[in-house]
Amino acid sequence: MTLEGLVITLSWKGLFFLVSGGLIGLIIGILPGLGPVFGVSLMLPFTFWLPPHFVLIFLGSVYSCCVYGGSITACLLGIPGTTGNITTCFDGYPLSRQGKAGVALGLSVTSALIGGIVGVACLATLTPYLAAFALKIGPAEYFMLAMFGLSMVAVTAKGDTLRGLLLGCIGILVSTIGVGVVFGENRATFGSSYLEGGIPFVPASIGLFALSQAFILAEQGGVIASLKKIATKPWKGVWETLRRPAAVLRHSVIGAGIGIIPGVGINVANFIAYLVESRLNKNADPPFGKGQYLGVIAPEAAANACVSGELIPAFAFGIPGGSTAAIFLAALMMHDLRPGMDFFQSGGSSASSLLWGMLFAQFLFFIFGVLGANFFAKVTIVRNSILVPTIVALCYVGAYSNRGMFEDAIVMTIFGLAGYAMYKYDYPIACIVLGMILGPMAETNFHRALIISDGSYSVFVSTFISTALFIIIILMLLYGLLPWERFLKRK
Amino acid sequence: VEQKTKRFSGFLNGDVIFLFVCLAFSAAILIETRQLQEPSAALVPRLFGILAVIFSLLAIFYRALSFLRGYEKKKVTMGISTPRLEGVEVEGAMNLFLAIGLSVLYLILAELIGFVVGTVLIVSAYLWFAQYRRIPAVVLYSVVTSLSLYWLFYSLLKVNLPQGLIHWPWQRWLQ
Repeated sequence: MTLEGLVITLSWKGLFFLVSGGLIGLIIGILPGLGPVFGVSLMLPFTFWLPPHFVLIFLGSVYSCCVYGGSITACLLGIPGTTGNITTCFDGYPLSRQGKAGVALGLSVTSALIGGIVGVACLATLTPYLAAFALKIGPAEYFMLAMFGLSMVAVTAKGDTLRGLLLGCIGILVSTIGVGVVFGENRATFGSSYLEGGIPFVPASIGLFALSQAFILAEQGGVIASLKKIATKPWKGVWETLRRPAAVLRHSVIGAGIGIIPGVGINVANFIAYLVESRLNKNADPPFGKGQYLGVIAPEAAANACVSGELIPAFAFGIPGGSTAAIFLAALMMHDLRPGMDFFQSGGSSASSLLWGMLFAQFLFFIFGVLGANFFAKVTIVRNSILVPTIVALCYVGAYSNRGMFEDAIVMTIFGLAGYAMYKYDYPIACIVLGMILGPMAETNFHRALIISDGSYSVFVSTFISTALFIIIILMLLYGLLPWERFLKRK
Repeated sequence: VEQKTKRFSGFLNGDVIFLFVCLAFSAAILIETRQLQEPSAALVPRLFGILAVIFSLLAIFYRALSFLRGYEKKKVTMGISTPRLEGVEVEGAMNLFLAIGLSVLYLILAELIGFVVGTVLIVSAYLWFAQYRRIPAVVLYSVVTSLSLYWLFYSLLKVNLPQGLIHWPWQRWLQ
């Protein structure tokens, strides 16, 4: 991180692109269905005529603020703005219902800030070492990693493991609909040409989390903050986060680590962080899902650390960690910059500007978040009967924003009704989303590993990483399925 | 007979219906993948389809067992549980059906008459049925919501929103 990049970032032009990118990212992040991929790709054409260092400052700011922006609606309305904020709803929204919307926003913005700083630090210092490790992960390890994520279902839904596993399987089945990625055959399309493209994830997740929430708000009536008053104390949230440094750092490291693995991304990082934290503090008071502070801190720290982590393999080796990182690569190539170690070592001001830009973007959204918390929190005392039609309209726009297809809106409505049923009957809704996210990754790498090994299943336990993951998966399933607690009590 | 009917209707609540939907979905996927020529392509859907059928049947079985034994549904507090809704009040149920009905209607209306008019009608209708009877406020709110969403997404962010079968003048103004 040379001083040249710092000077460029703090110049008038640099600050203009930093702040404008931050504001655009924040707005896009708040809107359901429009995630960082949409935001960065939408802004890419506006950067054609800019020098590369300003392009990277601008896009880095859009990306960072977009992921944070999604946590505002997640906390206030229980609607994740991006897929990286899904688990933030589980405790952020109950806090808002208790009248602690300001605290929830303070928790999310501070943990996002620290996570973001850790992510940028990883991007700046650990790139060569971590990227080399990521290259050791082959298809068999990827498959095991996906199975590891799915086996978390058994642990998290302990006590209701059967329903958790059922929803996990349903999620995988949903992800298999359409043309298979490996063999190119039409699967379970029921003769529909629309289903050949598969069930789109964005409308499905908007339905599960946003439309279902609108139905719940309609049924509940009144206002979100059940006490009809809001404690707009973001500084309390800031202080509560700073009091838990171990948790914030733990999940920042987890998030950055997950970001480095290509193809995994923020949607998995926030789940893993939430699941790990809920298992580490299973006797927490209040429990997870009822307004536990750590339930907001863990996913936010991980998701924002993952933002920079995703860029590590992209800039170091030209392998994008996710869709957004791929757009960053496109931006580099548009300006005749080549990814690789040379980019960081002798890329001049561009690499340094990116790092400083992303670092300042973290502080930018922190300022926006803390100063705007009082204003944002007021949404929780707006009557649900006004919020419901607005949310429904936003859901439809979000569904159309994906591909502009009417069928996507139908998918969103069906998933909205299913999501409502799951909320209503206490199903672990996260399990179906986890299945939908990890299903394609598991299937593709399963077949790739078998092709590499000429059909031998021993490939899944042929390396240290895959064997270790295999053993952990077995232990987790045994823990989730067997009634250990009853057995220990009897003892 | 009356008692038996009562007991059966108590068992067949939304929870069990949802499990049957899961069962039907998994079975449909299994049937569809039977026709696949490449056995490897069907491996994952078949494996997880069979697992989903088994899990659904087991969940229905446990539900029936606990119902027959007269157990209340165990309220499990998981790490990822969500706010539980305690019973459905009549007004709440009415609002819920209103929200669901208008959402489905919105889907059709937006395609037929365009996003802007569809949104104005649906938002106004919902507010009206939700006891907001001040017509100027209702119309103003629905028009502002609709036009601002259209301007933000269609004009600024270039999202392809439904234009409907009728050509409205503002479509040209807002481009």
